[in-house]
Amino acid sequence: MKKWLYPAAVLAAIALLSRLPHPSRDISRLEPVQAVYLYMEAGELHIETDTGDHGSGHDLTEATDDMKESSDGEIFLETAEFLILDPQVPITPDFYELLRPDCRVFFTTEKPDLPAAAKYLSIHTPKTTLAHLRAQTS
Amino acid sequence: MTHESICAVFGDTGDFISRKLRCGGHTIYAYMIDGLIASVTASDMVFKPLSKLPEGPMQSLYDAALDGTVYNNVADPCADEQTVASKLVNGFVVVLFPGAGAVAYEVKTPEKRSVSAPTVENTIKGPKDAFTETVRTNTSLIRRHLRTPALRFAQSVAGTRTLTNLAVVWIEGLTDPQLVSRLQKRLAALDTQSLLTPADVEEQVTGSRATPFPLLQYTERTDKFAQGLLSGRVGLLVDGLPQGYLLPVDLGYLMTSPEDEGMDYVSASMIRILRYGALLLSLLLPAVYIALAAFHQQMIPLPLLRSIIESKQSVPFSTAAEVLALLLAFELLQEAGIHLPQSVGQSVSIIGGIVVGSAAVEASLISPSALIAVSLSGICGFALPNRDFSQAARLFRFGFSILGAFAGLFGVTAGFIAMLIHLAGLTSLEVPYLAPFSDGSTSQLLRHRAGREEQ
Repeated sequence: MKKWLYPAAVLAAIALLSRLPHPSRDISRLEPVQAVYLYMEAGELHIETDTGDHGSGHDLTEATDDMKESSDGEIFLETAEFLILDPQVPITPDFYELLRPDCRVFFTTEKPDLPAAAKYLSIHTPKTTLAHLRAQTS
Repeated sequence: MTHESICAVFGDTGDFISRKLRCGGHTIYAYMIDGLIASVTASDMVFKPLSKLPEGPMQSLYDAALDGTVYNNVADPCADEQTVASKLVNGFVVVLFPGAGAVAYEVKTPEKRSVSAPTVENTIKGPKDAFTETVRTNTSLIRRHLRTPALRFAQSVAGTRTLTNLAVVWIEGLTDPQLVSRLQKRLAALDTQSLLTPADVEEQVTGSRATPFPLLQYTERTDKFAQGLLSGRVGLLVDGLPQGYLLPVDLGYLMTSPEDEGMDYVSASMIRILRYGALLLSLLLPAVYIALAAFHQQMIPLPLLRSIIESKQSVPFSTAAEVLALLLAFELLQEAGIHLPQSVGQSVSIIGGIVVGSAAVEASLISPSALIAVSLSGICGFALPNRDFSQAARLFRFGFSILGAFAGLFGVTAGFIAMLIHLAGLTSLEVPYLAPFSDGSTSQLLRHRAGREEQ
């Protein structure tokens, strides 16, 4: 029985590994983001990060894709700690998929200097998180 | 049994000495192996008294020689050529009284390596006597630690070519008799030509199971061996090997060090916990590093992630390739250090570890974070008290790293569970390998406290 059990286990493991949902991406290619700024301009949603990347589109997915395409590296939004929001930006379910629930949300009408804003917010941390926002809107 | 039949056993080998003697009006023969006996002792304690035996029939000469006229510590009758051969190779002089029988007198040479301090299992405090290659010296060392008359040694011989002397050691009334009989049954069933090397002993005694984890524990320290016997385990001493084996073995025993008994129980318990931590780090650190760097970057705190990314910017290899290559280099360095003389070995470690390591980082061939992960894992491996166990951990470290590279933390977790299943299936003398943790208790992590002193 054992003779066929081991090859079968190896085959099962390989099959399982090939069906993993997360593809690997090497850390050196990543461009980790600390702060994301979302604002509306000329009827389009704009996204900007503290790494200097920028994208725009009709909705968040389009804007993010645009930003990723124009970026030199691989933008890594999962590390974003702060979401700076223009109050005009409509909050859609995409937000909750794109960023971590623990991401702190800060509303402003003025365009911030993102690296400086990230530094400021890491000292004066906003209390509202994306999870709170989701709870309020749902 | 005749003079010719005894001579035929050894043929014309150079160190076999056969001597014809005139004694009590008869011709008798003495046999010995040159180098195994002390010539002066043989002359004074065997040949001199033999020459003074009174005249009489051969049978009365034999009886007198056996019953004390020849004043020797040990005088054993030999029934056949096989017994004669066995006595000769163990440092006896055998005297043949043709037609009456043969008597073996013990005149072993005192030439042997003296008892020295342990070289591998060093401790700051505690006894400094280590086992030697002579089984009889080792039994005496154990007797000095355990002077109880309940200490038992069961002697046997194994290996059809090597005729290696073995001694099974236990404490009557303390050790489970089943454990003793299981080991003795295994030794009796041994069908091997040689029992020369530690691998011979370990594979033959444990049944050569397909696992890198040790199924018997070796020690060169007599105090550790004595402690093992006092905790109800069975010991095995093998002539020619300067170490004693203890069975059964489980994970708890492999994680204890003689140093634990040399300090207070609080410190010893803390260090033991630290050792378990070192085991986990040694097994999992490179794999977890690969998994986090290739799959789960969001789990790394942002400042650390930035620092890792910055250090990896100009490295041309993927994290997995980098870590696996470093692990391989670490193993090669370790192997090179073992096979070189101690002074040269240290230089190799310094050149390989520090010079080549820092040069590789400066040349951006590897990232400092990968080097730290691999080095830390290697250092943690050295913190494990049992070398065999540490080697098994080295092997699994590679496996986990490969799984981490293919499937991230999922792969590492699956591999770790597979290893636990493998460990849970192992037994040593039918005692489960994970026995100390089978009931979910963590008491094995701590050193037991000695009885409280009355205030």
